[in-house]
Amino acid sequence: MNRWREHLPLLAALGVALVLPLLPFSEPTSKRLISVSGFVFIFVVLALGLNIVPGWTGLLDLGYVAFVAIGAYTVAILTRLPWMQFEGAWFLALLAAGAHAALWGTLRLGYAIFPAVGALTWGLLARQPWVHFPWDHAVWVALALANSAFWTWRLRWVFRTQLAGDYFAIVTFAFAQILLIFIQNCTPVTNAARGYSDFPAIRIGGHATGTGTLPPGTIVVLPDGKGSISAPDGGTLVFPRGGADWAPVPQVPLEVTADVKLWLRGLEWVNLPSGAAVIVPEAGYAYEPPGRAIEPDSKGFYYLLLAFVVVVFLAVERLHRSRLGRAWLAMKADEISAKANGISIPRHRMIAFAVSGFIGGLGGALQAWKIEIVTPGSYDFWVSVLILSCVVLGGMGSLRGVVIGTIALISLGEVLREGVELGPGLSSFFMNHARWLENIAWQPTGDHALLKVPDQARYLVFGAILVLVMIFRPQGLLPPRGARPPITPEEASRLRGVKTALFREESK
Amino acid sequence: MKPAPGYVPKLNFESLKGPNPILRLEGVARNFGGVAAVKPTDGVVLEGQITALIGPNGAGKTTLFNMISGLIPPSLGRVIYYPKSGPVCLSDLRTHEICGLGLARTFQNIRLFSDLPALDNVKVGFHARTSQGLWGALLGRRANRREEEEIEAAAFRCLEFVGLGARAHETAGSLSYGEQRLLEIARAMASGPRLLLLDEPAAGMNPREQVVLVALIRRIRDSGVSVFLIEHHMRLVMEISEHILVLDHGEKIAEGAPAEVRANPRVIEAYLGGESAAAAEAPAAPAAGPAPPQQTALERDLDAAFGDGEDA
Repeated sequence: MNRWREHLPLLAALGVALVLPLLPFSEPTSKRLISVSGFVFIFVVLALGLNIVPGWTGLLDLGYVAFVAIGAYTVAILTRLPWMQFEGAWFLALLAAGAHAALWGTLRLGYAIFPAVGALTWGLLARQPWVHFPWDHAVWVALALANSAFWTWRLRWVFRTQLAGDYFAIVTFAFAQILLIFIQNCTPVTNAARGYSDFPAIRIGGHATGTGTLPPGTIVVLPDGKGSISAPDGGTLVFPRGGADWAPVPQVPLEVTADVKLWLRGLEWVNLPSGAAVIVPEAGYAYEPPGRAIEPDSKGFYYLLLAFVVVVFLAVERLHRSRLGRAWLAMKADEISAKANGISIPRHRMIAFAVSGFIGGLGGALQAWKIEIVTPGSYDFWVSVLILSCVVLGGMGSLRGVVIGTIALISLGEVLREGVELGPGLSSFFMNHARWLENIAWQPTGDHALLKVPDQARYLVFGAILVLVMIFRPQGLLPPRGARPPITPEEASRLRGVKTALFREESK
Repeated sequence: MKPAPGYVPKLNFESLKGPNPILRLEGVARNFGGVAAVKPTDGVVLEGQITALIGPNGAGKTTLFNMISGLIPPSLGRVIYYPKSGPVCLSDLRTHEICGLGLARTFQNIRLFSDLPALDNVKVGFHARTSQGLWGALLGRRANRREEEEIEAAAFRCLEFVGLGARAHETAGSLSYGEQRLLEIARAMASGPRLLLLDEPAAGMNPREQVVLVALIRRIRDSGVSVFLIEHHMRLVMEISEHILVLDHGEKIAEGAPAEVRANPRVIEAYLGGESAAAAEAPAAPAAGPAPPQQTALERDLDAAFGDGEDA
């Protein structure tokens, strides 16, 4: 079909991606390849989500990282909750992460109104001597919420004015920055700078053993008193029985009744003989559900990410061809004309922001699982820039362009991070003629040069690439196709044959 | 036809028996800062007919169109539209809602989605009449696929209706000026209008294209769509319209059948200037003598097709 011919390069890429983990590379190469591909997949998802807003509705989104952060934190917080410990909870958490980000996608344009009015109301009320009475805080909360809701509704035109042009870029940028400050400071919710580092892995299947995460400071005493293993930053206790009948929070110290395995982060599996005591410094540790954990660098995780790429791509491609996608493109091309053709601009923009936000949240959640740590440092402005660069490099608004551009830019970044050992010719060139780039673009390793760019300097490389693309191919590597091959007589007669009530030339 | 001194226009009861209005302007006015672009104006557009809005440059014609289609709100007055479901005050509605009521328009400065293929431009026109939303698009259920297919077929037929069927897959921006105007009409027709507003549809068209356009507008009218058009080519206007409104300096100076309007001294004055009003008798007369020698054969054909009128 015509529509698949356009995506032929992507189908080829998918084929390569499917067999990549099965190829007979050496163990470390294969591991690195799987790990790097995982990052590429996550960024493909993110770029597909971002592309909707600048690529299709024509608004410059400079704060896409906000959705990534919202998705990651939602997953990190949700999966730790005691009632989220059932089979398939990870998927629910993933959807919740997307939905949460989508919600903020629609709200962020008016984000200032709600909290500002709420805080103002609270502040003014608390200063009045006559409003202090029992339960006064409840009244203040109710009034602050009601007032916020009222003014958000009254000032809903702000949503509309902030929806367009440069305002949009500024507001999205500001939202991401404010969110970052919130994350850095709201310790009870986000754990501030420490973030979350040991949230449960994705688990599939319920037949394996159940596990419980031990809090930091856990000491395991072996029965024969030979010694103890302490888990300074938490460990995972694996019990040999099925997880459906978990008892609630166990007693302290916990007696091990059968031989069990203990997995300590950074160590390896340790067999615990029956009779060992596990001393838990404080009660109340979360249980992980039964199931097989998918380690973030495993083939399973690789295919999971690939599946998400495919699903997101298909969804976005469907939207692109639908009435909604046409409305977006029309809005981008000519707003007035789109309005006159029956398209509600605010409504369709909101849908675009929601969809874009959802995919961003999804990508953020997957990324959190992949890197196994969620800290404010990984959600700064430059992530937005990186994703936007992927979209611009590939060709804004073109799906195949976005995918190819992202694969190119992110793998390049990963390669520069890991470093490439250069051959003798290039090595001598760098060593003799590019000394000034030492430790910026390359590092000496023995008699060879290692092409390796540190974190910050990598953006210089991306910037240079983008400048070159803008000069020589401003529409991106694979821009969206406008014209199609001329209509064939067969196609025309097929279209003439379709029965439809939408067009009648005769009198109505 | 110079009116007799002391001429008082009589009430024309005949017009009361005529067709129903589909659009009624009730004291519609618009100011831009201190400039009165349109002064309070009344008028009707008749159902099933071709109504023209004429006037010199800067008379406020496009402003009036923008107020009707909701792009700018009137400063005063209101626009009443009479769809089958009963009268609606358009001034209370947003632009996209007005389109949904069956009132479509084209633009003086062509506003196509120029990077999209012609077919997709017309597909966008079906937006108001179709309902597929986010979930429909994502899930791709049978009904949605069916609707999508119908949109494509109907869009193609719209293109064939205006004679652009063969160019369906070319981008709108690559079409010629006249073709772009036709494409705008096709897109407007896609929304299934009961009233079609055409803002200078013949501007920039060569005479041959104008002949095609006139036939097209008549076909649209014959298919039951009322047409309200702004036009500068007086010949074309006098030929096809059944009802004419004349604006000058934002003020309605005449309304009625073409013959009446052509004879109206204020119209002649507005078009030819005050001092030459006396000389305006000649062009108002039927058959203005032999065509000037520099006319091309095509223009003579046009004259034969449209009869002779003054050309502003």
